[in-house]
Amino acid sequence: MDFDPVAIAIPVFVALIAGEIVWTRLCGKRHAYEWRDTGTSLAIGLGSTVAGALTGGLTAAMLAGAHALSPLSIGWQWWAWPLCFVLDDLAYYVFHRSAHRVRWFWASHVNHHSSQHYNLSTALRQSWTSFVALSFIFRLPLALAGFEPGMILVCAGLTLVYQFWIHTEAVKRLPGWFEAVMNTPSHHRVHHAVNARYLDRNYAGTFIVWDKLFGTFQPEDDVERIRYGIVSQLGSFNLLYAVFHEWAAIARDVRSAPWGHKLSYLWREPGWSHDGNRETSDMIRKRAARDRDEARLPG
Amino acid sequence: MLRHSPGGFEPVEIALANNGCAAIANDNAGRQAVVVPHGSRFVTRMLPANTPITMRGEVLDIEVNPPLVLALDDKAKYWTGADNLVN
Repeated sequence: MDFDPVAIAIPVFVALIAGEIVWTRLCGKRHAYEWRDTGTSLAIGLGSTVAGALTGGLTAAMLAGAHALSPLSIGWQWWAWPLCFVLDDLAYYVFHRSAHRVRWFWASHVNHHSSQHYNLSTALRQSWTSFVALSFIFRLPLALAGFEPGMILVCAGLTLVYQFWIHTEAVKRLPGWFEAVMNTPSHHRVHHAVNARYLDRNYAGTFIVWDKLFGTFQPEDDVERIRYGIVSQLGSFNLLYAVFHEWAAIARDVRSAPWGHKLSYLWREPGWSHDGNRETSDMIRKRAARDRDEARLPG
Repeated sequence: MLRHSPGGFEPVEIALANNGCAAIANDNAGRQAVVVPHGSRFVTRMLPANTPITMRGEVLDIEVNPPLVLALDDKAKYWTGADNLVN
């Protein structure tokens, strides 16, 4: 199947970004967009499109290989589409959670979080190295379950397209039923925050129910101001640095670590170190909770 | 902002640059950090131990990558030596 939802949506993405820029100017929120940040986002988006074009065939081949191994073949039944979409969204949740909890996957995903801004252009910061990071393995179970590779790729594209519009501060809250089931701008702002209690929360793609089901949901607080980006802010608009900095950091850590710890720098969570001189998100969360408790103590 | 730095950073002394767009601080552990503009936002940079900080007139030159320059007026001298570190 040649239908590619992402390719079709790109002109709409560009039009919506232009619309949001106009909106921020009209509302006096000029700082929502910073031209160098937006330029970096657009360049990363362009690069990820090229990377996707180069490796998309290999991903499709992997899915086709897994599908060929499966004793099941669901085919192109109408009911398989919604089922595939929901299960693909679950696969996305697992991928996304792994992308934040395993440094190897994080190295590929981090550039999506590298902006200190949160606007529609941020959504374009997609990975250049997802194939190298083996991100496709999370969708292989769908092919093994008998879903057509073409159907899986279309559903994956639709999930990605859905996530574009939630990268905005223009939408505060949506009706309760929608916020309860779907991923929304409010839920995803939490995901992009570096505030301690928001770290590693709200991994959902389309349906927020996965986070509620697996204990990773955190609602947005209207009082605490969200700070966007990554724990160690990039502080650079350099395109190549933004895309490859974590891979380079992994290489440095693996090279300098004692032999017994080298592999841990690949599979442990971001922030882990063998000598404990860095902080993981769990450690940051605990420290922040401790600081809050101490601040509450009298005297 | 400094409190959100990796590892946490509770500033005990802080000096704001003349233009109000940057600052240098230290904490009880003797660590130093700077807050510098990045586009329309700020970023915090923890300075590695023994980072060379020299004074040029009333300007601090901080030898990190990329190099940082902070105009601090007469406060600059205080931040050039190790004797400013709180122990």
